[in-house]
Amino acid sequence: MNVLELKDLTKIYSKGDNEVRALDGVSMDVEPGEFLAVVGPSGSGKTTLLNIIGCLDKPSSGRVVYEGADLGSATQQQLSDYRKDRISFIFQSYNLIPVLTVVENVELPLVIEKRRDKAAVRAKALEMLAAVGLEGKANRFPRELSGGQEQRVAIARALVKDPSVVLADEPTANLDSRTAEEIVDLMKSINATRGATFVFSTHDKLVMQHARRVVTIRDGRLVADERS
Amino acid sequence: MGALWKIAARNVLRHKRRTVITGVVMSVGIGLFIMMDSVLVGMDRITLDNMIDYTESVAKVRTPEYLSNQLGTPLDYGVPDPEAAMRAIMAADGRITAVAPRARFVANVSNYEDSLPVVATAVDPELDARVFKLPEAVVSGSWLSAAEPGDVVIGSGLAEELGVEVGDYLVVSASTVYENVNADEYRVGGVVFTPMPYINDSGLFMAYGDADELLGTDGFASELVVAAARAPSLDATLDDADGIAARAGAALPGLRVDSITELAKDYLAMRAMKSKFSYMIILVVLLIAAVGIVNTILMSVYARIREIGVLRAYGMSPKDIRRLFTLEGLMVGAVGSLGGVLLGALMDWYFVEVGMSIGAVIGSIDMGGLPLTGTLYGEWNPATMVVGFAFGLVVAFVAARIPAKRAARLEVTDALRFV
Repeated sequence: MNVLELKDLTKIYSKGDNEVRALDGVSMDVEPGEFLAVVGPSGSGKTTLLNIIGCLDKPSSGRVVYEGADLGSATQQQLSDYRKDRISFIFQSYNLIPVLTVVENVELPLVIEKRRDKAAVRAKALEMLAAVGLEGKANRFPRELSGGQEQRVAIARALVKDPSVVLADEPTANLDSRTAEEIVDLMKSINATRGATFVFSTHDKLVMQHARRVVTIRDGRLVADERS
Repeated sequence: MGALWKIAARNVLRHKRRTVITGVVMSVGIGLFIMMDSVLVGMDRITLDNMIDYTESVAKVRTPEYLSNQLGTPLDYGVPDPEAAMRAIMAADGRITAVAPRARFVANVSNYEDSLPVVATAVDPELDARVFKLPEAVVSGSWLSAAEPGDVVIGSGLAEELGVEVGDYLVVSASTVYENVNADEYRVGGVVFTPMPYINDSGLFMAYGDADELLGTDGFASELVVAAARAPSLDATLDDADGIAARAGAALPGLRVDSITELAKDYLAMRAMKSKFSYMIILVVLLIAAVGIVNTILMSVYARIREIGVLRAYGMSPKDIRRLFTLEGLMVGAVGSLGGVLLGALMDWYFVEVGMSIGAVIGSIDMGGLPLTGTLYGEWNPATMVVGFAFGLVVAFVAARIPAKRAARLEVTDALRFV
């Protein structure tokens, strides 16, 4: 079964009398364990697509089906719950919580899920930190890390709850090319070892080369879908 | 909830300056409220103590008929068989330490040139000294003594007005029970300066024997005055007085026993107004603090919009976002309120232990006849501290809810896009 099915998605933003068609009839399926890049120029609709896939936004029309469940008629609360249970995010600016230590940041999704077993939560977070190569930085604060290390923490945070889908909006845009490649390698290796589905947007050709599937969006339309 | 506490606490500590400024404003407000309450209670205490010690006593026993006619200070309607009534009062309540008879009458006093009207009081010098502190207020000469008939004690202002000193003679004239006017010559045996302005300005005391001779009475007691052991606080004093009056009243059928609560009811009504005024002050100060809290939390929300977006993206509910920022406000409020209680306690300590000379503060300003002189001591009032702390928390809670609600309403996508 597909982990995700998008059917004829349209997203229209109204600005005064003008309508902006951010997505225009996008349809695609995503299989479990895919490592998929969404590419396209700025303003093409990549972020809108990721927001809708991430249940952060609702389409104007069309359907979003997660593991067979149609979320088209879901309320905001149901979307929030779905997000909490099944989807994780990696952000361009890492967006770690500055007052929490590295390990506490990684624990955050489990804490939001209100998991009671503190020892198990800590163990899981440390396991994820080890998986991203930051086992020695658990008690540091984000400000004490480099950009690449912060993004590794963000990846650990995204994976700690074993999500069905990890969404990453331009995860390497703030990193130098070497670190960007390291991060993509890390994501790819986690994708391979843990089977988590990755959907990420990028401008970076180098990063694109690592994707096993590249979907190109232009003016809100899906114009290419290539598998390597 | 534990994670919310952790994030909230660390954010409060992260912006120390902001937290400290808001906390200090709250602390000063609450501290001032606690101190003001302590001083006001102290003022009430000193005022009521002076009333109890110099004019009213803890409770007064009079006949209902005398009370109806008391403005004319009649020589009728006195307490029947005062000796028996005094014994009954002493037996009525263990807290009562003394009872004394008094007879009040209006007289004229003359230095042979000028004459002035006075409120004269006939007293049993020995018993009266057990109820009132007049002997301690004698600034020259001595208090009355049954062994020295013919002496009077007058207020210091009256002595000055008449230009007399201890040892000088005065003529006192008054209406008698026979409805004529009698006059006699008395030596000024002592001059008193009390915290009660009207005693100083027009008070005259003479022993019962002299008063009986002047007025044609025979131990007439317009009132019996009652003394009791000192209670530790003003409220306890008032409660004790009410209890004593109730018991004495039950033991004295046909007589009316009024406690200091009734005797000083005008002052106590004014006290309630003062209390409202002090609450108004804390309200204004805390409103200023509330604006500070709204501002602090709003700044916190504004600085952390993307953080809110992340928390929401990971599934934190708007309710928990609201809780998070409300908690932050409450923490600032708790720190401010706690600081306020400590500051208030420190200022209370000073006023309770060291006190403040009223003369040094207000000089010789007339306080509208209020018996407010001497050293003003504050009173500990734990209830006020609890009220101040709780009020601070409530203000912080209400103030934090406004920006917290705003944070909870943010759209996740807008929050994540926020730069």
